[in-house]
Amino acid sequence: MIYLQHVSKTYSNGAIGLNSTNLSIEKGEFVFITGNSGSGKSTLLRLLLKEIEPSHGKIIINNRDITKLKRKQIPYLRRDIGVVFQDFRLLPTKTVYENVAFAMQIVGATNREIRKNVPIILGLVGLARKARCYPEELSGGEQQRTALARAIINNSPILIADEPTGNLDPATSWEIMNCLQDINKRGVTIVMATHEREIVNTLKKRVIEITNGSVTKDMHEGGYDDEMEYSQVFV
Amino acid sequence: MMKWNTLKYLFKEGIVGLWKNRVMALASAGTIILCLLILGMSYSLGTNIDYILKQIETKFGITSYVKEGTNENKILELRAKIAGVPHVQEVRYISKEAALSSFKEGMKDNAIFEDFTKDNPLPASFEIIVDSVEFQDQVVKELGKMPELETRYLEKETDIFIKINDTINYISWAISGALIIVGLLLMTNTIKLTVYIRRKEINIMKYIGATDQFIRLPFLIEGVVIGTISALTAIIIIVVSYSWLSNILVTELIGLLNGVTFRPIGDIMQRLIPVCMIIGSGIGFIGSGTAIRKHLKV
Repeated sequence: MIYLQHVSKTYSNGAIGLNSTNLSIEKGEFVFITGNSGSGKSTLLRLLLKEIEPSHGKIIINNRDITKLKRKQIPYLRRDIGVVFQDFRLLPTKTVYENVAFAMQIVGATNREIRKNVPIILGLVGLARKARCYPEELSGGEQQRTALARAIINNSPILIADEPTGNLDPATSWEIMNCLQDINKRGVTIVMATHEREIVNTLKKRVIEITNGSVTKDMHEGGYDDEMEYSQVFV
Repeated sequence: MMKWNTLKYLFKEGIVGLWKNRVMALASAGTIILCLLILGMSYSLGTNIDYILKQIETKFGITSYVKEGTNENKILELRAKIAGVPHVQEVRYISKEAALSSFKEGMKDNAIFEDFTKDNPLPASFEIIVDSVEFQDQVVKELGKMPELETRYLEKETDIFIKINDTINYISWAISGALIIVGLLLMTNTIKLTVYIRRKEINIMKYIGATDQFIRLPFLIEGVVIGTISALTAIIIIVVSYSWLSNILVTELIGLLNGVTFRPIGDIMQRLIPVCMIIGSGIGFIGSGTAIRKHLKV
């Protein structure tokens, strides 16, 4: 589903974001991307969203080499990739319902489809009662659940989560993780960048660690360093 | 091609966006109104100076006295000849009798006129009005070629007037031009600021797969609506204040103005309404369009 072949990214100031990275993520996987700040996690996610271009290499998503996409085709790539961020990035002047409906408007859904699907998704993330609230009236967890609802409303096969629990307390973080696991069970491939040791260690999903722009560990049912011996390494 | 449903949604988004971002919308509208008011005022002032000068010009008439003994046929011939001289706008014949009666009007109860009635010393004359004061010399030269006429006009005064007229014209155009440029820059900058404040919003839309067109359209609609409403408001303010001010000036300065009037508001609005509407909506459209372009590159 997602393949990186010898992908490098060097920024204009000379900083290395990724260094000849090879990676493959299959359909339905739940993958944690770990690493220190500045290790290259964000570069990887930004490359997948085609926010930046690689200096070398190929990035294939859903059988398409996205490095060859023209600027006009980028929105259509992003419709296949739901995305959630640490800072939620909801539209502040729209209610919860409107934020989620907005993603459907983008793909040209009819009003009938919107009226039918948005309440279902809001129910799924536990926000049915908050539909009319504006983002500023919600807790951090509720805002992130709204962002999740928006990311999955168009049945995107991939969900990219950039430290989605970074701004949340532990209990709320687990609510979000449970949501993400439910979404993954529905067949959505999830790529999540995180620093949360406890979450990574508890969930035992595939863990890809990036250090200085290179993949240094790639383990199924992995965890942080202290539990490395129990993991199978795939580098 | 966008679906009808999507277009309807984006149009609604533009209108709703105005209300949701009303503080910045008001700031943009305020700037546009202010700039259009300045433009309207400078235009009204400039066009009035021109209008008033034209009226004063008509007071710089040329008088050609007809020599004694010229018969009626010759006078008719002369009148046609004068009217044919380039730049002559109007020719009025004042007969000896008419000249006397208007002279008498000015000096009532004076016994001297009794003698005048018997032997009228006042000559018949032509009063000639030129379409523009700068052609007076040229017309006078032509009149000089007619031996039956003796022509007089205010040569020095006309020269001074032409110079003043030209200077005022240059100054008023320069000021209007500068104000228009400053106004356009100010309006574009305010709109840019409005879009800049919402750049995060644009960024989010890009991340969830919105096309440039989808993001741009509501902003353009907002821009055009703000521009058009601002232009209408500016026009209403100009109409009301111009009518009020010109009324006051005419009443207060009736003696000083000596019959000179201000340009009617209808004349001014004939040009100002389309200019304001085009600048208002155009600046809204172009301002939003160019401001948003920078933030779409995500």
